[in-house]
Amino acid sequence: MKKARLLIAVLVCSVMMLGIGYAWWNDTLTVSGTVETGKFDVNFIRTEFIPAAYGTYLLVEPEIQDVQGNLIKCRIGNLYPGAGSILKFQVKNDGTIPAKFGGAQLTLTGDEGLIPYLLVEGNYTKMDTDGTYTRPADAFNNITISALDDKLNSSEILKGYELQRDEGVAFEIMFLMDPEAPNATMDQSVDFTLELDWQQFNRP
Amino acid sequence: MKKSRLLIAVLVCAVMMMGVGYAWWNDVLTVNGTVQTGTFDVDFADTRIEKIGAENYLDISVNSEQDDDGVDCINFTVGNLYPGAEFSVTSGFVNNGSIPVKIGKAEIANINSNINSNEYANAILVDTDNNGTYDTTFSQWVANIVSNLDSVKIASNQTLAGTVNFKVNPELSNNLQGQTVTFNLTFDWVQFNEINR
Repeated sequence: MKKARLLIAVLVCSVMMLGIGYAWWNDTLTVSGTVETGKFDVNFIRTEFIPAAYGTYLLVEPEIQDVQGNLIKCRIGNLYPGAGSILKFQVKNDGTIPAKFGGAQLTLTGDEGLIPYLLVEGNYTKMDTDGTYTRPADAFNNITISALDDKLNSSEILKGYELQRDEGVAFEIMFLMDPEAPNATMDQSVDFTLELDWQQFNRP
Repeated sequence: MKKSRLLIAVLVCAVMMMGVGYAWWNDVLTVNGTVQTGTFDVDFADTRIEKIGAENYLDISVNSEQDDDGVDCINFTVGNLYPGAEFSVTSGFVNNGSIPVKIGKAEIANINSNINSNEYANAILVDTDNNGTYDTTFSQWVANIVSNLDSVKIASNQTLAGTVNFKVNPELSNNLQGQTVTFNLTFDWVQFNEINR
């Protein structure tokens, strides 16, 4: 009998304690958020390739074979001493994050005897969002094609461009054959790949 | 226990730092190009040397040297020359390259003769206009080739050809009998836009 009373007492206490447990007030505050990343996207736009030569004939055969956002595929045929072609292209920041020039890398393959006689000269200018040119501009003249990437990489002006959204850089690069190129450079070809690396503006 | 916690903390930091390294965004634009040079190749077109006149006692032979690209050298012999003998040379130049060409230099070289140069220079007369009038000497004709062809350019796959008549000087002296003259007549063709030559 005593045991039964004790059991009842324990049960009553337990129920009372449960009641006390529910009695604590509470309130929940919720932060509901969305984190959306930006977009880093630099693309080629407005590409053209035009012949250039000393003399009355324009016999070189520049050709834009393909243009995609990140790739220009081009070819110069029938190049001869004193002649060349000007590759014009613009780079535009289509992303939401400012971009800066990270570096250039050039790869050359083909007839090695021709490489020393392929010269390049060119210039580049920063463009506003509406496509108008803004200073500073920079230029280089009469360097061998193999030095092109070093020339771009050493340019403080190019490195100093910070491309905001819809801003860009207009490049003109003339590929020219040395007028002193010997007969041995006839009927030869060189393939080149020029990679232009664009990086997040605040990358150290 | 403390050591293992420290190790885990270091690992976590290292992974986080790796994450920071990869986190800078970039985009690479590529210009992929090929540069192909043209060709420069001038050869002789079909060459014929023919006697002029029904009664003609010249001995003529032509031997062209053909290489893979075409004829770069023509060897010919005109033998048994005598005063008043006439012959014609029909020849030309064909541009087998991809670049227009123009004449840069024409000269007679490697002259091998035991006669003096004045006699040699006047031994052969040239009818430059094919009008029957032999108006200049062979050496003078060669000297004038460049200026006469100065404005002439031969485009790719085009041919410049013509016929020139030659005559042994009727005034040739007796002491030139039995003589032989060998020489090389070279034509140096240059790129159409070459400024200095």
